[in-house]
Amino acid sequence: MTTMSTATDETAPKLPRPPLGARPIVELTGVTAGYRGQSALDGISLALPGGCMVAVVGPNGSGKSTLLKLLLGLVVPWSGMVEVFGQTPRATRRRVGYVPQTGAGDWSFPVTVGEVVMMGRYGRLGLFSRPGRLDRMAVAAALEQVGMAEHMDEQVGELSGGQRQRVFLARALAQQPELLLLDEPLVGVDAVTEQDVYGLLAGLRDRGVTVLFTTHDLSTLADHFDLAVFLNRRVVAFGRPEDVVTEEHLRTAYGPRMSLVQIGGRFFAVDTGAHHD
Amino acid sequence: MTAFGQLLLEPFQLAFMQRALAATVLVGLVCAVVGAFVVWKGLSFIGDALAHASFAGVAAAYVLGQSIYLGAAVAAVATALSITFLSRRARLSVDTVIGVLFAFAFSLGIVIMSRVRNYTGDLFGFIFGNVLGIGSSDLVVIAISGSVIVGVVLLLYKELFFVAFDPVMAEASGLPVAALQYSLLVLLGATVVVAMQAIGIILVVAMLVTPAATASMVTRRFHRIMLLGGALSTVASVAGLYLSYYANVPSGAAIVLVSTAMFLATLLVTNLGSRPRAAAAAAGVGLTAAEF
Ligand SMILES: Nc1ncnc2c1ncn2[C@@H]1O[C@H](COP(=O)(O)OP(=O)(O)OP(=O)(O)O)[C@@H](O)[C@H]1O
Ligand SMILES: [Mg+2]
Repeated sequence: MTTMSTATDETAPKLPRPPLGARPIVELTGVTAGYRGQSALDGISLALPGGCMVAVVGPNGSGKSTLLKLLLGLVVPWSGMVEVFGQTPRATRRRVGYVPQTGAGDWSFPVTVGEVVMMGRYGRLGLFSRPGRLDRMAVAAALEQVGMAEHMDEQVGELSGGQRQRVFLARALAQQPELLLLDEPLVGVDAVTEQDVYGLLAGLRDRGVTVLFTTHDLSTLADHFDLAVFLNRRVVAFGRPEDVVTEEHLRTAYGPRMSLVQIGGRFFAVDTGAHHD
Repeated sequence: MTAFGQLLLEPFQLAFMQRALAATVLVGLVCAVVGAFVVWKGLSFIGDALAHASFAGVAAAYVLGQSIYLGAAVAAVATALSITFLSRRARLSVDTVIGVLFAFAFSLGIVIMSRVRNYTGDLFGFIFGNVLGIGSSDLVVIAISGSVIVGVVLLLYKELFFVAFDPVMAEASGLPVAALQYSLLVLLGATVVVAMQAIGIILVVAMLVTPAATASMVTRRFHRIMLLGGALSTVASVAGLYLSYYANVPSGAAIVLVSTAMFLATLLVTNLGSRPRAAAAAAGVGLTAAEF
């Protein structure tokens, strides 16, 4: 597994711009969606090219998770159109991997790490069929990739929060998806693993997988992502990370307290109104 | 032949005891397989409710001269459906709706029964179990429906397992989650009906819960909970029938007593090994056993 660091960023291969006119992998047109009569996203339009790593940023409640759920068909739009690979989200679920924001799953349930990761293969297997050698290999490889191979037979309920996140990531990897939706997958994950995960995702991206990744870590966006979407119930900005995370956009979305501070050549988004002690 | 061997063989030289043994073992196996889900998805209350509700179906079928099993199955499935439907509509917790429906259906059964003149024997057999009165045709019904239930669980095993652990991810993977959850309830209803005559409506929940709970203290692999639960059920059935034969106690109650004894013994043994995890699991499921 490669470990990315800021020092090698300048030389890290950047994805060539997708050819003009290439069909987008993900397309939303005038989509409004929400829960129980309250809208969470208001008429957003977005087209994402294939084979790139896209960050989704925005304040709490800005609709990031809702966007991912729309792409899985877990949330149905009130109006507008959602297309994934040119089809409805429900029709393409098997090609889409998903790591939900923490809290999914019944932690008291007796299930091992290996069994959870195997669930990533179920969509592929279809009803009635049993996992075979290929599936077991994919599970082992996915666990290896997230550094959880030795925990294979442990109960998921007995893992730490960060380890659970890694298991969920492994489940999405075992699915071998063409589109990977990650909802704050690095919450509770240590710094070394975080770098490993970014390296891993960059590797997938280079093999043509499209990665959509929600995060609150604005300072490292430019290090890891090709594109960024700034959400605040609408699309505030969309483009290269350095053009998206700007003072102006931050203030629009977070209010006047948010500012960009430059330290050692890197930008950090900070709350200039808060007291730190 | 030793005297002891004679004691062991004697009961099962009788045809009705052979049928009783076959019936309780079959019922025990089906209950253990479905019981793993009951224990880990907290379905024991709904299982108990379906058992009691099926009594209304039994009574109605008796009055109308229809098949008792058909009546019970219709009542159990209708109750399972109503529980899901009403809890969504009324925005009440599932537990509350179960509490309302379960008492209603059982009362309905009692009212229907009170209109029948000579109801005594047969119908009480369903409430307390009457495994010694099981005929060959009953045994055929139990064997066929039991195989269908276990067969469906095996066919849908990985999907039911996924949905039980994480329904949101199961949905995101494209599994028909609502249909699977509904299937599990129907399987539970069917199991209750299959177990009804052998073990009795009141004690069915013990067959569903106790062996699977005991197995859960020993292993944390879901399929092993089913297998071990099945083995424990079989032991309880055989030992319970001996107890019933020699101590002259009702067979359903005898089987449940043996099953609970194994539960308590396992609780003791796993706690002596001072494994806090097993103790916690035992505390969680102990409540159900304490009801008896
Ligand atoms: N299951 C739900 N039921 C009702 N309202 C919801 C639900 N999920 C989200 N919402 C509402 O929709 C809005 C957008 O939520 P969403 O989860 O998409 O935000 P987010 O950008 O992912 O936030 P966070 O950074 O906290 O994860 C919020 O106002 C939230 O209250
Ligand atoms: Mg979110």
